[in-house]
Amino acid sequence: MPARVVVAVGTKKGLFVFAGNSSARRLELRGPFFPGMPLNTTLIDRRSKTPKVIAVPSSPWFGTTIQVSKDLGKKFKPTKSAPAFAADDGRTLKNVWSLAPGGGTSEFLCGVEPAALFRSGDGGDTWEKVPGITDHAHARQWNPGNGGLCLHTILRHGGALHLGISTGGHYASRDGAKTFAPENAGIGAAFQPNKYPEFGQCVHKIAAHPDHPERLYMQNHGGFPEDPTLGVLRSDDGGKSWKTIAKGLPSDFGFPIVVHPHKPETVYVVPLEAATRTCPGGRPAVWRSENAGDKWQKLTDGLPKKDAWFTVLRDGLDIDDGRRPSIWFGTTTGQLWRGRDGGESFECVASALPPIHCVKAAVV
Amino acid sequence: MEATVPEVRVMIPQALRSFCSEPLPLRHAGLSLAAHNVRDLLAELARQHPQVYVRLCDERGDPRPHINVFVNDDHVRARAGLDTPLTSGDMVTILPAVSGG
Repeated sequence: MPARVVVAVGTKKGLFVFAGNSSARRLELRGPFFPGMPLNTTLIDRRSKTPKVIAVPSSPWFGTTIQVSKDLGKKFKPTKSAPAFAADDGRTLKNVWSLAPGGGTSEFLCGVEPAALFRSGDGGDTWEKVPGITDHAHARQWNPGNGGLCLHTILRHGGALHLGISTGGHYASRDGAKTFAPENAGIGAAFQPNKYPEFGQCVHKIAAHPDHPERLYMQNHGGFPEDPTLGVLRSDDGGKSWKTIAKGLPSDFGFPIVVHPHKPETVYVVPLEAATRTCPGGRPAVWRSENAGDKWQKLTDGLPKKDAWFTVLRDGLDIDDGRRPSIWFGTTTGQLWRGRDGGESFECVASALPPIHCVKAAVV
Repeated sequence: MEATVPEVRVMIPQALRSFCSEPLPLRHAGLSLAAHNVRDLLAELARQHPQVYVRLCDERGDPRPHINVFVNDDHVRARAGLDTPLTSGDMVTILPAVSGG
């Protein structure tokens, strides 16, 4: 049976699901689901025999729900509740920015705005806050970035739980999410008087490969052009310290970063002009390093050669885990692009979707 | 204050009617609830129709930012907010704001 690829695309105006034979030229389009509702995150959960597509629409009017599909995006059913702060907390949930599998088959972790972490142990029906980070002494000192004060990255890696907060920085727990500490050595913040504060960095995304437990990659808020060393970083000690790997990129600014599923040294970014958050010179490219960021290669085959001024947001880039994986990215101008063979050649899968916030792809 | 709890009609957004605990018999029938003021009315909505309530109010019990609550023709913010008193026969209308883009 040929491999099937599923791509969940969260937009400003609902969820679209693409599915089909992974080698086919065209994929079936399903949706929009939750029309009119923005989605900042989706998840394709394959821990159980039946893969689930999980979407988190946040209605501007009626709040947030967690929606689960057990038929690869044909029908969705809401869980019994969504994350929420306690009535006396003082904070109210504005958005959900990240959803990740927890340790058990029914456990989920959910990062929200304002920055906080919630856990569900029953498939998303009930939620409890993770106090180690939600009530951290720093939590009321974090400031919102342009997208809001969001906990956008949840990464279980190397025996630790890594979190990315904008603008809070990188926090890690090494005791099962009981306590969290800022681990930001080497992560810069060009927008603060102290460029290397203890916390408060505008981390954009963190990625890692399970075969290299001590290594993590980060797309941080860049410093281009004044200090183009701040944006793209690597840690070789489990996140305790970070160093630049931005040399060779046209800009160290960008939002997403992903790692190849079969090649731990291969990492992808989409550099953007810092001032406009758009493709440098109007000429979009995905950049790939095959040696953990020491050298970078520009991938442009099939992409517009000029006059393309889009943005790829922090969850707008993904790579599926097929035998020959495709890179997928969505743009704020509503295009979904597929780069076959790890980005060797790109094709436009959809050209007129609403602005794309997030893309998740998997072979099932 | 009335000795008995005032009974009022509550119109909820069309998009939320399917979340009522019991199907509404008619398209525009609305809900029949009893409360002395709007705050109590929302509490009663939470008790009887929790899936409607969580979509209308945030964790603090306040209507979400783009939800408007009217008592008869008046927005509650032009009266006493959630403390706006209710009298029997009042019509409480809950509507999503004109917003988006």
